[in-house]
Amino acid sequence: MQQQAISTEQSSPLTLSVALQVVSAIAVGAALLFVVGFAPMDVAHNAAHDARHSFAFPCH
Amino acid sequence: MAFRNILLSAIVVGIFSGLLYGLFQHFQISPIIYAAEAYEVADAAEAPAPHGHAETAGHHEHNEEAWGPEDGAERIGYTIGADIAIGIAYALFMISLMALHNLKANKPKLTMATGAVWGIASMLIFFAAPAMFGLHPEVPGTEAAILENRQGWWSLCVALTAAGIAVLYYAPIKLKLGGLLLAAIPHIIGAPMPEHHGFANTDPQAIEALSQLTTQFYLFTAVGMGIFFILLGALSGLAVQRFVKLDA
Repeated sequence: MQQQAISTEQSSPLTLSVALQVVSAIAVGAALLFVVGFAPMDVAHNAAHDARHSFAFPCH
Repeated sequence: MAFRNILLSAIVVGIFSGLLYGLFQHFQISPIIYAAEAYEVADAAEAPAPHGHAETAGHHEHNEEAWGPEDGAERIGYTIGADIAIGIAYALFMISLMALHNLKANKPKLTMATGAVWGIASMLIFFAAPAMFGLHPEVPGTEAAILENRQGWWSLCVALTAAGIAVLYYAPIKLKLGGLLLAAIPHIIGAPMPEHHGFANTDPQAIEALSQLTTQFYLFTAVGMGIFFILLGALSGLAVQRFVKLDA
């Protein structure tokens, strides 16, 4: 909920804070995609192995 | 709250599309992966001899000491869980960018139908461009270039294809050609390829079987990705139309 905190602290126009929230959501998506699809740790790789192959992510 | 609306919508959309893809994968794709793993040979450093490693069949761990889900229900569960997580990640991108579109662009607002078109565009960005024109979908045991290089190229390809499509759609007519150029850059650079194509297993019978499995795998991932992205796009379009309020 850090993003909420950021947006309430801003006094600039509303559209900017909405854009900032949208960018934050994209960042969360990128982080999630990295952990599941690309993180090099063995544990992450082994757990998501079949999914990584099925989404045609580079694997092995 | 735009962020909360986007996040909640993405979780719901990701669960639906990831679960559907997980089921499709369970019946159509995973059997191919398991079949290919039967031919997988242990890492060269651990076992220099290329033959006689049938006992590793079904094992997908590279490092025997690292944790991995047990074959069977546990592995299927983790795979579907990972599919849903990837679905949520893609839905976050999709819904965020759709919200940005509704907020900023001078184009018609998103609906379920235009969402499905966005889904087709995402299929081009995340599957067709990096996989069909570059790093082909591969079964386990396929020779490939260094992983980090391929991941780097994949990310570059996805980013530039997305940017290229955005330019084609949003930019003034004079600049649209630039979108095609952007999307072409990763393919001009070229995907990182192994020194020689083939499989880690050098047994002729294994090569024959793995080649057939690769063809099937390619076909089913392409079909599955098509279904997944069109559903993801349509549901994201619906979510943005109904639930994501940006002026609140």
